Amino acid sequence: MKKISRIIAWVVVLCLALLPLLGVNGLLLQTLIMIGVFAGLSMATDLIIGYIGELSFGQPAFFAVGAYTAAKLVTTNPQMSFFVILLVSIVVTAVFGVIIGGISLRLQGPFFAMLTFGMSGILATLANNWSSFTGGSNGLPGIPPLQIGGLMFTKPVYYWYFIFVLCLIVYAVSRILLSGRTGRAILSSRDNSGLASALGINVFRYKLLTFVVSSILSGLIGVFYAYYIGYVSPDLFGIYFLQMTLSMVVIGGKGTLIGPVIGSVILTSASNYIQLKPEWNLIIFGLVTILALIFFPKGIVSAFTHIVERRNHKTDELKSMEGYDDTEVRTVNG
Amino acid sequence: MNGFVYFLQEIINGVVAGMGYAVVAVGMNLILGTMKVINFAHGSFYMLGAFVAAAMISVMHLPYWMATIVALLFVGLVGVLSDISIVRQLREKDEMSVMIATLGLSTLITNVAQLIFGANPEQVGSPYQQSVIAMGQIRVSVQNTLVVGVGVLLLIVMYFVINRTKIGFKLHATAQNSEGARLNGINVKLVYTITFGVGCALAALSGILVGSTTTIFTSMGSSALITSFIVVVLGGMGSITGTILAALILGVLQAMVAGYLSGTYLDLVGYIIMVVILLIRPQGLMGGRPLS
Repeated sequence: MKKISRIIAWVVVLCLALLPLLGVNGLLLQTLIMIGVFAGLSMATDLIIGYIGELSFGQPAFFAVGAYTAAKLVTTNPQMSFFVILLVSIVVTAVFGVIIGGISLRLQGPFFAMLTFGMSGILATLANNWSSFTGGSNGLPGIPPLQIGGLMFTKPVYYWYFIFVLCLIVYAVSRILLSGRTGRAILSSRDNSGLASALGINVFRYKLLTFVVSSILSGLIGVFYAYYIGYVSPDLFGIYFLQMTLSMVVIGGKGTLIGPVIGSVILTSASNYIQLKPEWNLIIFGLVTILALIFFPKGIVSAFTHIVERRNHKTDELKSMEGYDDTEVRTVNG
Repeated sequence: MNGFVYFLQEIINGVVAGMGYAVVAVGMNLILGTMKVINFAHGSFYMLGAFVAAAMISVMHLPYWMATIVALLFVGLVGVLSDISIVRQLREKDEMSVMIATLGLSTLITNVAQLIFGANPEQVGSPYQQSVIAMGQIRVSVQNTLVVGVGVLLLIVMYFVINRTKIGFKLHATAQNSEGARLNGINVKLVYTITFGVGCALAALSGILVGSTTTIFTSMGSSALITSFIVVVLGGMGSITGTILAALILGVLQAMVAGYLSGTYLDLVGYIIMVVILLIRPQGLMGGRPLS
């Protein structure tokens, strides 16, 4: 089963990489790029909601910090190399991650949520009012097209490849973080922090590590978004990005990493293709999120894996019973 | 205007703002203390109350007090329905689901209101807007006096209902030990639903009262939500007296900052207070005991 899903995953990745060769452009390409932005952001959010096990309202803030850092650097010094900008953005979001995570992870549950809410509120207030540095409510306009080495990003297709690679990086980094010894420590800190610390795991340190990785990844997506849109504004801190990413994580399934991606495919395509007023979009997303929480609390992905697991489980159970051979199993299942 | 009068005027402005905060924050704290639920849709109920009252006055031509009652009943009903359909379903599962769901509810209400009422700022038309009471050089509008008066009256009534009546005892019992309350024949679900409805109606009342002193717009819910948070955190979870004290402190402090420094970073004052209090005294000024 695992083999099959891995093959499917590679086929999907390959198809997505070849997609622009088929002459995809216009609204579809734009939608794909936005799916990439939200997929990356919601995977980073899932690291906190699904793997730290706390509700963060601060994810759009890191996204915005990344975007603002890149915008500030490139508008003050257009000659600056993209890799320097990328590096500085990573350092800046990491510093913010350490400060905000270091403070808020000392508390749990609603307190954690309120602290992240409050601290992203502080950043949004600064972005709105510190006009000389952040451009105030107008933000920072006039970000030139992305240029890596000699390659100018003149066509949207280039942006698609860039966000595609970025999403793969976000997924890979998250998977690496969650595998092996570190991953087990993170999962046990989430599931039973008392037991984990009794076993000598520094729960706070692992939670902080996850938090900082998540904020760096959100910041990277923000850097991309700043270049793609061409300007940054305090709207990046707003409720829109928060509601969208939370809905995607909930609908796709928290704590799965791939669920948020599926959530972002569904919600972003829905909002781009069913062209309603933005108010209607948010009404529908709010409603769907509430319904998902009540009726599908583990999200789409878990509903799917649950069915698969149950079928496998049934077969295994019957196989292990004495006197059953394969033919009988088939009749029982049929 | 000399310095002392200016100072007094700022204090009065702060007290008025603080009483507005107190009413909305008591609603949030009532829900938090009794149900152990943070209602992220609280700010949108504040906004909804103000807009429904404004519509009742400008479209239906109801008198101010009648529009207030209609709006309170309406928002209370929406709160009761929200509890039955959403909060009750998720409370038992985990608190994160409730938080995400109430945030979704907030998005829902805000955008429905935006579709109905439009994006233009409005005002709750009150007959007391223009008249001003002058005491020497200090001037207070009648509407502001009404905010303080209704706020004080309401909080006294709340105090007596919670501490002296049968329903108050049921509330206390549920807040302290919901399982024990249920075993003693209290309909815990009903208590929760009533609490949620009353909490939301309190948010609406604050929105209506404050909405006559300033312009209202459909996105104002988020700042009301944050202010309530800050007040609840500062006053202590579940402490009604603490909430009122904290609201007055915040109101006066903000008025001082706005009057003597600058109005730009008003929000920042609240956020910083909240973060500092959460870190050094998470139980708040008077927290620790449920519903005192």
